[in-house]
Amino acid sequence: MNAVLTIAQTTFREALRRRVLNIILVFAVVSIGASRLFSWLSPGEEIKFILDMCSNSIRFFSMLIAVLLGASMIPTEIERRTIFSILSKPVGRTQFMLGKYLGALLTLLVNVAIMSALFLLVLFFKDKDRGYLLNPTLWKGILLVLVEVGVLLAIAVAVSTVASTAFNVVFSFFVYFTGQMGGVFKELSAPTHVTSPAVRVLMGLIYNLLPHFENFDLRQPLLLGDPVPLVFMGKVIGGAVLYIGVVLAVGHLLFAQREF
Amino acid sequence: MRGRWVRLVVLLVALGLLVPLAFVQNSIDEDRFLYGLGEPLPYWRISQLGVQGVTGAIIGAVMGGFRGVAADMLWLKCDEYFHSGQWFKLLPIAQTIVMLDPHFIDVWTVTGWHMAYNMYHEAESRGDWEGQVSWFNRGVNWLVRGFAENPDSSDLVYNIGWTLFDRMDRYPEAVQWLTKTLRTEAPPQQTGRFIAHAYEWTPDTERALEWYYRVLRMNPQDNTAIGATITLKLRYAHAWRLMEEGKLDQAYKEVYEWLKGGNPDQVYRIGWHLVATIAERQGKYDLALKWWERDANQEALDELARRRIFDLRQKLGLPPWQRKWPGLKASPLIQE
Repeated sequence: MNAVLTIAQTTFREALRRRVLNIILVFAVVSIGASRLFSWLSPGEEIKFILDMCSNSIRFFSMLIAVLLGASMIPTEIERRTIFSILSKPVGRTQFMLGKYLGALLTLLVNVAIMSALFLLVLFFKDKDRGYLLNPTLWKGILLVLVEVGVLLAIAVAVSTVASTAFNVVFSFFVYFTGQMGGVFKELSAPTHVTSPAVRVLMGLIYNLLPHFENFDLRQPLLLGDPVPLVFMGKVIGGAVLYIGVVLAVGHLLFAQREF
Repeated sequence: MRGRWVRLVVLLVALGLLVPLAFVQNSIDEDRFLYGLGEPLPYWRISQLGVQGVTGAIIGAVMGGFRGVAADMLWLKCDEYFHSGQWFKLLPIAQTIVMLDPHFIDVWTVTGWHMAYNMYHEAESRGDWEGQVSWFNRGVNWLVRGFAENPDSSDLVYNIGWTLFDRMDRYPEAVQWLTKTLRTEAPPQQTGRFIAHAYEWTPDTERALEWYYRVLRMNPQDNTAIGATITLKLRYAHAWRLMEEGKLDQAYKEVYEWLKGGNPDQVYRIGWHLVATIAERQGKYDLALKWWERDANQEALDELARRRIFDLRQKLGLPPWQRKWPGLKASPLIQE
């Protein structure tokens, strides 16, 4: 366990020094800060525009950080050959992968926290009656962003055990965007839309295997003021933890097979 | 050897976990729908879009959570098309916007109005009655679709009622939608007054007065309601009562004398509608037809008169009505 935590700590420190990630964070901060300037796009509904743009900025930029960070995790270590010196010590491959995952997750937590703090600050000055600021859906939404990028990060880290950074970035983006359209795959697996049984089976497989990223998006209830039941939150978080477990298990199998 | 077994167990556990995972994900999708927490992009919606619409939908999906911002940007594009007169280009984009953000109320209301008014007039300028009616129906259907997506929106349900009332004089339907508006959270202040107007023009003087009284109870300073109440009581309420009591000749005479008396209301729609309605109840269909036709020739947008003309001409076995104005074809609503 100590080895896992030590690797996580080192990964976190390294990630904080990575220029690309810091630039993305700057873009996120600019996007969130500028949301107030662009709120004229929705006259009369400026707060809703700010909520929409800020929550989506957090989601989008966190996703970018998760993919870029997760995809380069292990390939970079192999390129630098640092992996050999680490694995020559009493550290298993699984411990190494878990440490990398936890370190990256901690980095994401810090990034999401910074973006959320700025978002709440922007909202604080606009939302005079604090109706949105004190809305639990807002906080639940931020929590689900973190859980969502945790799932995406697990996929990127698992794939990074066998694939190059470039391939992994493309693959992770593909999974993320495809995962936004779970409903389409569900409908395509129904006989009313597609007659070919083979295509239907394929669509059903994609639907059941892909993470349904749209379920982490609480923008609509936030904007409409609808409550989000705790049962729903529990299921989404529970499902995500299960998914992360499965993906990291697959990552462990792939990493164990890999020969350097 | 041991490592291989461990890997096999891990593989089996991972595969085994996929089954409950699929159940959990399915269940979350259902909950999302059940709790109204948002809907994914359904296939049928995408398949209904044109080329421009599909592009927008893909961009929206690729943008993931940025659908709302994308919808705002597209709405600006709509505004640009609108002001540059490229009205047909506006519609596929509006489709895309409501697919990306079905709760963008302005897009529903403005596009519905655009179809029922601008596109309607565009068809009218070509003398295309079928086009006019088609655009009107598309506008109303669009608003109804918007209302189905946003059942709490006062604006949408009000706009449906208003469009039926103002554009096609479909008063009974307008009253239904406007009454529904009053059950929403923030109905526009003038809703009650328009219900009264709709009854006034139906004509149903008694109900019109009843609604004007309701409006005045809410806002005693409503000058329109004050004026309308005075007009109705002074000119038509008595005749209406006579008609309800079956004293049709007396009722007819009273309103007709008023209208004939050279007063400034010579073209007042309510009076002529009332006269024609009484004549119909008297069974004097020729006379009723004469007044409806007078009204339809007098007021280009009086769809109620046109519909009555169609019914009466059929009843009397007369050929289709020819509007006095040249160059305009008749509405397919009245099958001329």
